[in-house]
Amino acid sequence: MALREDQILRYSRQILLREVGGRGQQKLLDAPVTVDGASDVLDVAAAYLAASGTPLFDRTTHGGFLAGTSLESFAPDAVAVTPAKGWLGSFATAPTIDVSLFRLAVSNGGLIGVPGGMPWPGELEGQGSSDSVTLGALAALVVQRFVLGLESSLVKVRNVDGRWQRE
Amino acid sequence: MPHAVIDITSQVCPMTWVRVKLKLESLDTGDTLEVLLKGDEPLRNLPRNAADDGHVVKSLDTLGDGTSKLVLEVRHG
Repeated sequence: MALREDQILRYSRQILLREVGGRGQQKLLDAPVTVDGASDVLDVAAAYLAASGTPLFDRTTHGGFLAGTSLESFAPDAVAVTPAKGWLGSFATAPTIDVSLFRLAVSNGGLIGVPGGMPWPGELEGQGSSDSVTLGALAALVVQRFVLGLESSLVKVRNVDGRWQRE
Repeated sequence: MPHAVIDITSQVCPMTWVRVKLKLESLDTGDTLEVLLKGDEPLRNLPRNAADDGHVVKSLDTLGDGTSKLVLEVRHG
């Protein structure tokens, strides 16, 4: 399926990325992600995923796209970007990615998983991000790399004296 | 004769490269793409962007009236 003109314009900055391109953007648009649970980290992750064009499904609402206020404020037309309408009628077989790992990780002493070789969150901290924003952005990044078929192996990191470090 | 032609003379950066990149993705390795472009910025950036993505710059000719013709050979993977 070719990208529509409005999708090309909206996601042009992602398409520019070597790791994404048009084919990668199509994967992001075609891969519905389930957001299971509620937390600040998941809200941020959901917002980033929606902004990248990924359809989100909130398991807790039993039947709708996630439509929380934070999501709507980040990507007002995210729920309209659903090229893979077929999956709505067959949710059981749709590809889903559980990002609750990150919520659990946060509650377990700050351990989270990030793909090996990724630039590390010091750069995000430099933007004055809170931990929730940092972790949420990373959760979205991990999911996106998974969808794009990029490296999915994880490394553990730990928060030491306010700085995130690889273990 | 090129396998495909794309006219981006009405586009501005960064959409110039977005359009060309999408067109290149739709072609097969070994195909040639003729790009009609206008202005200094795409003239500087497009050959470099294409080469950075692994494609081969076959020729770059100035056509006058500020437009240029860039011919790329597609390379995937």
